[in-house]
Amino acid sequence: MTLRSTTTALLFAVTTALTPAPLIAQITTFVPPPRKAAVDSTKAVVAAAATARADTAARMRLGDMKAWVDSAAGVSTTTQVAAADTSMMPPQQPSPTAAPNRPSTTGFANGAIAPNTASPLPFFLAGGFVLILAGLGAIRLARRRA
Amino acid sequence: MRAGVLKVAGVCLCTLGATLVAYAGTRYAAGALRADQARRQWEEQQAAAAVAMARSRARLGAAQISTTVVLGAPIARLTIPRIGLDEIVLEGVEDDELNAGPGHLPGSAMPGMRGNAVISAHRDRHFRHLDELRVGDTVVTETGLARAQWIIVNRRIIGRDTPALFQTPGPTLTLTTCWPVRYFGSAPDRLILTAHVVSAPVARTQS
Repeated sequence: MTLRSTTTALLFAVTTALTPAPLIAQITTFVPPPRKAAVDSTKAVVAAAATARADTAARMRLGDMKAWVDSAAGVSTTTQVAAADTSMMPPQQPSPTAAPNRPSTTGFANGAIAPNTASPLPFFLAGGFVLILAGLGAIRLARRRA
Repeated sequence: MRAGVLKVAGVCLCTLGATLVAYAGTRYAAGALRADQARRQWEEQQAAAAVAMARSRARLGAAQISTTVVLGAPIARLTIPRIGLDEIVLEGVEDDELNAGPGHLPGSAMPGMRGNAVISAHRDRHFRHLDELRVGDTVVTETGLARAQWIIVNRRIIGRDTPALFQTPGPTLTLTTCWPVRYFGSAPDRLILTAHVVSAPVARTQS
């Protein structure tokens, strides 16, 4: 009994020593990380926004410096800002790719466009008559073939 | 088999066509009924407005008379002798108003008052002869407040997205519709007629 347990323990020790590290990692127990203390969500959002803004500014400065160095070296460069960075910019800055808002045609404003007076009714009327004629033609043809 | 398919297709086409025709006919009929109703309302309003206006002027003064109107309400009578047009103008330029008659653009001045009064209508309905008007033709408007005679001073055709309506210091009347007037499909341009008042608007109570 003692011999068997000693042999088992020895075998386990040898196996453990010879097994690669990733496999050992898979049989280790999971220790959960300590829970973070609850923080004020408003403060967290403000802090995150400030950090992101600071990061953006730093990245812009670094980008500008790189552009300056490149220009001094005679290399043509274009400064690019990541999409994540532009999302943190103040909302009043217009995006160059955004489509211009079409002005309202149902209220008066200085420089407004004329109201939309297009009506689909004549199109519906004419299209309806054309469809009826086509349908009658098809029915007549069907009768002739039958 | 082929004849059967043709027959089914024919019946489907006829049904779809009849639906479209019925829808368009219903809308035209509803517009005509609404126009008649607006005219009756207008005439009733005129009788009541003359009395109310005289009382308001006596009590408050003309400057304090409210001109707030609700969408769809008849607000003016538009007469253009040259093309035989005599229509009641409704407040608003949405589908329902334009289906019944010329529409007054909300936010623009009332016809005869200081500012730019904008009236629009469908090119295939009430303004179908608007293209026959030329500079120098006359237009008459009547509202609950004043009757004014206008003379057309400018006629232009612009793209549908071109800014066309501007504030004016004095009384101005702008008539708009789609252009070309005879065009199948969504018209790409707009016909804009601008008119200036011939003489000072005459108050309704004095006319």
